[in-house]
Amino acid sequence: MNCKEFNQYITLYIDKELPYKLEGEFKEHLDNCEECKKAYTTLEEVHSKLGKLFTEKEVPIGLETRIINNLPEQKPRFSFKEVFFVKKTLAFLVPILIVGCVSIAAYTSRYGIVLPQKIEKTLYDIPAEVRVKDMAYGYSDDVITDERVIDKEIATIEIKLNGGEKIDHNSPWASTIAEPGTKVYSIKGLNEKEAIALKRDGYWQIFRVMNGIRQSQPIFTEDMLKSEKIVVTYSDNGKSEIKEITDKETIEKVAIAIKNAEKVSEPPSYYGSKYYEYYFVIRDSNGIGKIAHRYYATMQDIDFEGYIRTGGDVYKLGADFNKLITSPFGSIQSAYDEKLGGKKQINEAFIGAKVIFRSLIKEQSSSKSEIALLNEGDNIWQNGRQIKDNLKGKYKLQIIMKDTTVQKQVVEEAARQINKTPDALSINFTEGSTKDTLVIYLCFDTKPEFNSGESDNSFVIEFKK
Amino acid sequence: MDEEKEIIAKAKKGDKSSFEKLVLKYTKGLYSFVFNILGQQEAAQDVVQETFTKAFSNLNSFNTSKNFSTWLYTIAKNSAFNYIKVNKKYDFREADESISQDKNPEELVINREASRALVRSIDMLSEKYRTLIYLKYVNNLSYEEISKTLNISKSIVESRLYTARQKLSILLSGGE
Repeated sequence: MNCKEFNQYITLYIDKELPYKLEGEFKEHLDNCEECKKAYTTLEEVHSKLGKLFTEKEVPIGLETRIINNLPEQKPRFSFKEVFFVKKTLAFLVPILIVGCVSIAAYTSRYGIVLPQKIEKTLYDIPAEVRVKDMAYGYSDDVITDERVIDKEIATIEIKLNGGEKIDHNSPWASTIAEPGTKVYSIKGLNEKEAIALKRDGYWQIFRVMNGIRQSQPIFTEDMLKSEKIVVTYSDNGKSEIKEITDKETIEKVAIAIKNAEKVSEPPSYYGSKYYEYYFVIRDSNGIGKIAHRYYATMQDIDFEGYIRTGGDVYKLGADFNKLITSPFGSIQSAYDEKLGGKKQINEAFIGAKVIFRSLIKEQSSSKSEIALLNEGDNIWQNGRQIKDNLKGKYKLQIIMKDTTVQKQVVEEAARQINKTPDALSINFTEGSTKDTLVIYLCFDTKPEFNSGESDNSFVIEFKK
Repeated sequence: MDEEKEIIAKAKKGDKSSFEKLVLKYTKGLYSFVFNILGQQEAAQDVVQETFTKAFSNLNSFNTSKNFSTWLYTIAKNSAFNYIKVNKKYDFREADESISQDKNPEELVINREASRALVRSIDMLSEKYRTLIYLKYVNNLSYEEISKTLNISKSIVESRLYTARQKLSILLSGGE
């Protein structure tokens, strides 16, 4: 075997694809040619590094189950990509349809040709959700905040579509999402060829004719500063929760943060497992709630920036905005933030009407947390020893968290929020019998009523008001 | 690989149990890959979970004519490096005890840095080479199987693997 042949066979040899009959010759050349040995070593080293990088290690027990259990129940109704796709599709189809209709009209009027009963159109490519005749309405980002804007019943959905059906100009009212029997309403101030409303699952939804909807909306208007409330729906891996912001000062701060959002040309990479939707409830001069536009925002991390998208525009929000409308789910990303702890850290420490201590402690068979209500004079832990109670308040909730390293900053964060716990006088932290045991005391003068429980590494105490 | 394509097609239509099959198939390799980048078990678990969540949420954007493992590992790589960026103050000096029993802390840091350099180098390869690396090392496919998957001849598989490794060697030694 010469050097040229050897070079041709290096890859085959490394990948164990070299025919057996050539192996002997290959090895012989490898032992006798320094230059070829060097070439071989270079490639073999890369192969070995790649092998190590992708070598399968032992997976922690339960990881696959944890992943499967945490998959979103359903995908977000609109991922941003889908929204862009809809827009692009419409932008492409609408001119074709218009040109097509005009041409057919012109042709038929000139030659008096009778059109066939059914005209097949390509509208079924559009995720239209309510259709009648040759009209297609799509679910809009608008929200009815006041039922008084509903005008009158105009039709009833007759057919449920599964998607993909072709439609013709005689089609009755049909929908991909609303059940037959659902009533269709017109909206005051809007032509029914522009928008309609449906009530589904107790909520009003607006559907707009799909003629280039999802245009960018202004993210800030002056009347936002004086709105009645902001309704925020948080979504995190399939879970969702609605929160209303009614405090005037916070509303104003949120509106100003939005006003200061900076338009960016490059959208961030976004995958949609954690995001929120919000809208401002604003009333007109007669006190009737206006139709609100619902905005979508990413929530990368409460300590970092987020983004609002409307139509094709993207605005970058500062950290202030995310902090003002903090998610009830906290932030996954900040779980390893230095200020929130170390290796076995507390992931979240919220003190409120609902107290949540969540820890990323390793699996263990015994209970990780204990709670007890102590009376005045009972022993308490202090720096690893039990001593007579020296804390103020007649009652103490003693929360023992085992096998966790809690850093000073977490304790401070929890202490900062103590005023949100009903009737609590103070919060104290100390070591238990071992250094990795944290004992928390919530002190009260009146006997607190609460429920507590532990699941998924979370320890939850909910106070009854 | 055809079977995998069928599973992906079903998952794209919203069949969660099909996606679960992909989770079971790829978790082990993905966990190792992410662990090599981060050097920390808890963080690696979180990033792997995040990777699958992102993949599930964005499966519609996956082009089925492309290789799934390349797509999935790219999400994992991005998530892992994003994790490092977001948590840059936390340098993982405290590696897991179970791991540090075998290796000293310095060795762990060196291994982690070497893995990161290798991942970055793979990322710099053009898609045709990158896909080949994933099919070879993640899916453990033979030349014959790669050739059928990508619809290219076995000799092209061989020559591309040769070039890919050579390019990686140059990139790792600091070359362009």
